[in-house]
Amino acid sequence: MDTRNFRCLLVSDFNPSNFASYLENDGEPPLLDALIGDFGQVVPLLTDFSAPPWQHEPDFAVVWTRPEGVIPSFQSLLDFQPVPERQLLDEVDAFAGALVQAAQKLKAVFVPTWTLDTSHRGLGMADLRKGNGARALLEMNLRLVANLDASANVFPLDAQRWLVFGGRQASSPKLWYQAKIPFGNEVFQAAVADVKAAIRGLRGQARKLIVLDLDDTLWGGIVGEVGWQNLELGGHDPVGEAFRDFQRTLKSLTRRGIVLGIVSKNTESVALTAIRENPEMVLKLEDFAGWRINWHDKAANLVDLVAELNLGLQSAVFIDNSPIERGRVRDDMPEVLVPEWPEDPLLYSTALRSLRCFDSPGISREDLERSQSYVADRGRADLKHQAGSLDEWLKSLGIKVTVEPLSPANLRRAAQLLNKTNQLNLTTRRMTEQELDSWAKPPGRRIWVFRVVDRFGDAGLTGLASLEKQGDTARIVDFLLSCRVIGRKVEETMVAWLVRQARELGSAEVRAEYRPTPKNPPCLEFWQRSGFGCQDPHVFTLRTEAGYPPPECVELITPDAHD
Amino acid sequence: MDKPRVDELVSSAVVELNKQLRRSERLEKSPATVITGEGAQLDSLGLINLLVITEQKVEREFGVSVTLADALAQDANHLHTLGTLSDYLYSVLEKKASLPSTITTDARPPSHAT
Repeated sequence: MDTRNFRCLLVSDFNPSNFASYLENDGEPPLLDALIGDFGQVVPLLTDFSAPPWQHEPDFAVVWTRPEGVIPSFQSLLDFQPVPERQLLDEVDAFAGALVQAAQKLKAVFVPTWTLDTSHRGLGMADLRKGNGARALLEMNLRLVANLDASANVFPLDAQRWLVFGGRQASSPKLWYQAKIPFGNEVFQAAVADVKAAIRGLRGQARKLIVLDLDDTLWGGIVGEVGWQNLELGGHDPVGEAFRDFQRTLKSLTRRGIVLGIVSKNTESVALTAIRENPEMVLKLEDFAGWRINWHDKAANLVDLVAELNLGLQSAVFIDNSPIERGRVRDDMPEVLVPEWPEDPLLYSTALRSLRCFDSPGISREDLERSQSYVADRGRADLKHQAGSLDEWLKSLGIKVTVEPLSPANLRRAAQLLNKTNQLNLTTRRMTEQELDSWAKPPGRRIWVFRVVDRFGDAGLTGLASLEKQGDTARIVDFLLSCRVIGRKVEETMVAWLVRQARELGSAEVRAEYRPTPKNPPCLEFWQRSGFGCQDPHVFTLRTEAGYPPPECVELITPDAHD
Repeated sequence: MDKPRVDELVSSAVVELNKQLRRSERLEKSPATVITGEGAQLDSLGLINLLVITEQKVEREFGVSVTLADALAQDANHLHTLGTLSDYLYSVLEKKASLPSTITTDARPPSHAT
């Protein structure tokens, strides 16, 4: 596991020292070391990899510039000199080209959008008309982000939002004239928070689960006392409207892959009736992946629910109006994010929307379907209750595993899976899309992804494995499976595929070397019962001639089957 | 205008400045902390930041604009320690308060040119 600080190169046309200080001093993970290039040398620094900061092999870069600092025509425009639009956009294109070039050397590049000094008024009412400053800036920003669309590891960030945090002191003439620093400190602090959230998102550390209290959190009032008909929810009442909007915001998060759960001290039947029957409820029962509604300790209930959903505590956010319950969970489980919560329900939606913990580089099909897949899991669990033996149960699920080679179509999801799978993960390698794609290029290296579907639903792309031919041996470099499908013989199916591929590569032996992390002992346990030989506690081998039959309860659909 | 309020303002500026400084470089909130001249614990950018943060706080708290960078040109001792900075700031605010219509007791933003 990588525990060193990441190195972040700051490229700017202004003095980035204050930004660098906040970036390095911020205690939120990941910890960053800032590398500062000569400011004002933006394009040369982006394109000349022999420049000193590149020798430190930065992981990320933030390229933060003032539009008039890097687009000379824009300065002319601000001076009310006529500038052909073509010329302005050509300069933007050239700048974007330099960003894309630099991105080849980095895991990711973050590009704050261009902003104007907050005192800028330009032509006032005419400034948004064609050919004037504010209008040109909109067009330049649009052109810039459109140019960056094709680069998977370049992310424009909305700097205008940061200026809002800075208020009247967002632009700082005093710092500018004395130190060539254009922004106030609040702006840099907001920027640091967004950059760090973006890096966590890239590393697969975005939160996936929101666990909610009910009374005075999801609706107003105590349902056990006032009854579901008299809850403050919806209607023509500011508080009722605010609760309904809060639910709408939660619902919108489920559409981008965030899973909802309930932990509430209530009588379950009373609470579930309220969810089912109150016509103002935006969230329906099927929007929740699970719940613990009882009179037990909320912290214990939370642990239980998170385990049922096969997620880690580090995936969870706990929202409760009670400071006592929040304190209890925060103290007991520091991995769970427990945001401070406003007392006034009118501020709930804003508080939820301002959380950065859900930031991720994109939304995949699997993200979109995650909520439904948990509802399907509840159906599977019910069936498991009825079925007898494990094999019988697995057979009744009708599991199909489709294997496909790594390709541009599945690269994004494959990288997401690689970066966020912790438990059933042989080596816990973390790589960007670009790095993963490059790794698979040389002959003798193969990466496959595995999709899992059963009669309750499509779990999507949930497995990844790779082989590298090393002499007579095929080494399993990556072997990882989402915890959502662990224990359904998908693991064994993947191994069977790898053994077959190793034989086709002409290898006499398949070898898996387990690299321990605090979170991946489940993977070791799997390999210990995999049927592979084990001379070293962490090294597992199998002669390919012995073969490895796939489990009978799983149907394996291979690429040749598609041909 | 009372001196303890000005001392408190300077202390809060130090707290904010410390968020930018490495742990080993952080300033102690003591009047004796040396900020310029021999034994200074701040580099030039650190001093600029401290003065700008203080000026912004003065504007928010007292509704007046001050320029502390001038102090160095007048007398280097004004900014020798946090204590002398606070004394100097207090004297500037006292002077402003004695002039008619130049100081407000609330935190009204300064008027903009129209």
